[in-house]
Amino acid sequence: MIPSCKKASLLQSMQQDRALGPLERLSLATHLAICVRCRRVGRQLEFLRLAVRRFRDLDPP
Amino acid sequence: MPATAADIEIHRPYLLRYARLHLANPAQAEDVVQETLLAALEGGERYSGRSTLRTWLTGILKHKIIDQIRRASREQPLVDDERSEAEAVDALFAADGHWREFPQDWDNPETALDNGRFWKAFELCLQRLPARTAQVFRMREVMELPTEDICKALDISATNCWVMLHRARLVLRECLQLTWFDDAPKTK
Repeated sequence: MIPSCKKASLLQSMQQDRALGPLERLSLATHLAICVRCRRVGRQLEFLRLAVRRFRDLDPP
Repeated sequence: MPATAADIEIHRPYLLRYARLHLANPAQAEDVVQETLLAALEGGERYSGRSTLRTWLTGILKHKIIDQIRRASREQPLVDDERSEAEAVDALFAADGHWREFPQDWDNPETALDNGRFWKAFELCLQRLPARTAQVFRMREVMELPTEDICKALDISATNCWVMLHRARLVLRECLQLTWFDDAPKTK
């Protein structure tokens, strides 16, 4: 079954914290194949991770 | 290659800022940094030179911060209003689980990383996360701790941790959408 965007966004988030199981990977991939919104949010979550690390490493004023 | 007191002292402002990302109480942040610098001096010969001095000091500091968070969490855990937190995520989705608003394309968001005003907006968005959620998110993304270490320190379940991280990311995403990317052409 294809998960909703809400479920897909949880899987996309968890992907940053642990390895997804085969069924989780399949259901996320199936969803992303048809959902431009979640593909966009997925890229944005990756950007957030990059941004937090850059923010952490900024030189203090 | 022992690091001298002067070598180490240079990194104090960075370490202090790092500590403050995790500890709301400025005195506690000062304390853990002080302990870190002392530990580094006493064990100066253990600095092998394989990593940068800053990375090595940050490694010591991390342990001190985690200890502090663990102690504070045992005494008085931070509590978020779970219901309003769940509602914050629910509000982003329609009843059928679709995005309520079509997520906008962040055109080349990397260009924002060089913009001082973006970092202001980013900091404000981080500060708006509820305390417990923010604590978990910062341990995960700033300290880069694995979830299991966060669970152990805060005595929460892995599932709870993943749900909080999901929430933190979506709320942060939404906040940046509203306070930066919607206005990006104007603020560049």
